[in-house]
Amino acid sequence: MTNTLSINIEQLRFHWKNKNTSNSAVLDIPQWHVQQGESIFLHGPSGSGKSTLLNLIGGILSPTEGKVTLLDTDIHQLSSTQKDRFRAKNIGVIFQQFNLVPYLSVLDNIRLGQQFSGAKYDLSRIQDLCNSLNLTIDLLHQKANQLSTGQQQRVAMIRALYHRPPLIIADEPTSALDTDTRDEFIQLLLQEGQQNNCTVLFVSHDKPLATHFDRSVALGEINHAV
Amino acid sequence: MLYKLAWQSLLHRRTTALLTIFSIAIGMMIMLSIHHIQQQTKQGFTNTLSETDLIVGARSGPINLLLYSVFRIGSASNNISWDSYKTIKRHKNVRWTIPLSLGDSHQGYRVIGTSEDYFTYYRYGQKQALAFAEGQPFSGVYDAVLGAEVAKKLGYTLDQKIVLSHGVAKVSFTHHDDKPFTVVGILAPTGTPVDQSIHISLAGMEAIHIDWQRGVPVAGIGSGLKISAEEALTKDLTPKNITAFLVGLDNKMMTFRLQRAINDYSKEALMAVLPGVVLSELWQIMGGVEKALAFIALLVIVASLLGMVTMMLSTLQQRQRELAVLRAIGAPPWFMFCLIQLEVLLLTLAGLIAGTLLLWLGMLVAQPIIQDNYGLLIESNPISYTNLLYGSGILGIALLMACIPAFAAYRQSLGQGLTARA
Repeated sequence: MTNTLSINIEQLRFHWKNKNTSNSAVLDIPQWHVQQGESIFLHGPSGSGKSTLLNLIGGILSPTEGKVTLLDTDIHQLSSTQKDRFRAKNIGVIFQQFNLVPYLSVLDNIRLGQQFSGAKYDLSRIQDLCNSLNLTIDLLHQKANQLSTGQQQRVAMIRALYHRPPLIIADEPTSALDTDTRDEFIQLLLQEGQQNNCTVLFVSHDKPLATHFDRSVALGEINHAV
Repeated sequence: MLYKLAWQSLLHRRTTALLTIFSIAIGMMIMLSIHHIQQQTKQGFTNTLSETDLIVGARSGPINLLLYSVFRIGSASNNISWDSYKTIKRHKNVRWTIPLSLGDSHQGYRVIGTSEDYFTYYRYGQKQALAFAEGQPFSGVYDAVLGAEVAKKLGYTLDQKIVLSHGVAKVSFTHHDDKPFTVVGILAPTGTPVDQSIHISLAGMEAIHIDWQRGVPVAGIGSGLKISAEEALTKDLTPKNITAFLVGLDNKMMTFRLQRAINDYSKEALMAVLPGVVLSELWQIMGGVEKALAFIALLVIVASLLGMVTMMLSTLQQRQRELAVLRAIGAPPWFMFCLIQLEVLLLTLAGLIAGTLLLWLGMLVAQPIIQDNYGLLIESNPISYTNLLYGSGILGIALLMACIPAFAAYRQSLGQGLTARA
């Protein structure tokens, strides 16, 4: 699997259809690809289009031109329902903060992701993930909003990893964490990603973190838009 | 999972949710109670009298005549003479008559002076005759027959001595305590004003008023003009007048002809009415009020539903992150739409059920009060086919209105990127 392409972007152009903004492209990426199993650190200043790129990869936004291929699937050929299903099954997403539905228990949060992905329910897998991420099992029955931010981020990681998606997108998942928890979080993410042969696309503006990853990419290098 | 999400989400906002449910419940309760009470009173009124073709009384309003003669509400403006009664009673088409002489009471229950024919010919509900739970019809002058509720509420049994009071008010200052009556019979419950009545013979009615003139005793206690109970029995106790009477005909076809004959009766100003016709007149008058109330209830419901929709819309702001999470893990936009709709469904359903329960409780409280005052037995269970129909109508409106926040959630999640903006 290591030789297949996880993300393959060709001739991608994107600009907002909003009347108020000029028609100049936000993104113009002639070519960019990521190998399956690679861990990528994508950085760039705020407003440089990182989130837009993630939304294009996640199938939330559609490119103005060009195509985005994930695991041999041109995702923008899919209908919106198919895109949602594809995302649920193949991409694990971890946000900066507020990853969980606050009023559901931790277990229900994880199960929510599991059900959308179509994976089978396996409590022992959840328990295993809890163990490897240093979360005690009894946390599973607590309400998500009772957890600390660090714990919440790790639960989000369990949810993202549970169904073994080929790609994990993490959008500044550590910016709300302190330095110690941040390094531990990245270590765990990469370790689990490796074990599951998972591509990790990690977005941050915190450049020093790049040392943890296989490859570091500045958005400005691949994006030709001004 | 959708259900669990909706349920937990409401539980999370339980104060707002409860208040919303409560406001819907109140709207529902008002709406149902208007409909329910109206339906039940209609049924109660209709069930009170059966088989009676005409009600005859002194000329006044038809509705007034019906109310005082049958439902013991209000009082007569004038009496009719015994001679006129006898003339009509002898009419060839008349099969039976029930004379009614009103004006006295006992502990707030109205006393009816009547003949034995009352127990033979009076019909209520589906042509049901009166039945005796205990005892028999009156035969002596000072015999009384109690309605079921009177006996139950006052705890009277056979052979109980009772003193009647003059007038129909709850509190009376003039009592016929010189001529006590004996309970000889207790009627089985009917769910009509009969249950609230005390029946005595016309002779008994005459006897207690024999030493009275123009509504007051002619002599004070101890004066020689007073006539004792035993003495009264020796006098002529044929009544001089009665309040009203019910008429049953041999042939229903003759009803209108007899009605015209009575209305044209030259010796006295009489009036004959058809109970069914007067009842529908009464409903017509009440119909306007009823419609106004129903309209207000509808407005209350719509207002509470609007409140709920507004609440849903404003919480969408707070729920933006939650929707972003759901979207990121693969929930399609229609999932959010369904989530909002389901929450509205749960809230409305809970409101409807709570409203129905509230009404039920309210009816349990109101039932004895209505029965005491109007003699109508109202079913406390408000669940009926029509009310279920109303409930589903409200649910339909709620779901329709919920499309606004649901569609907003749909739009919001569609435009929502893979990032949760803090």
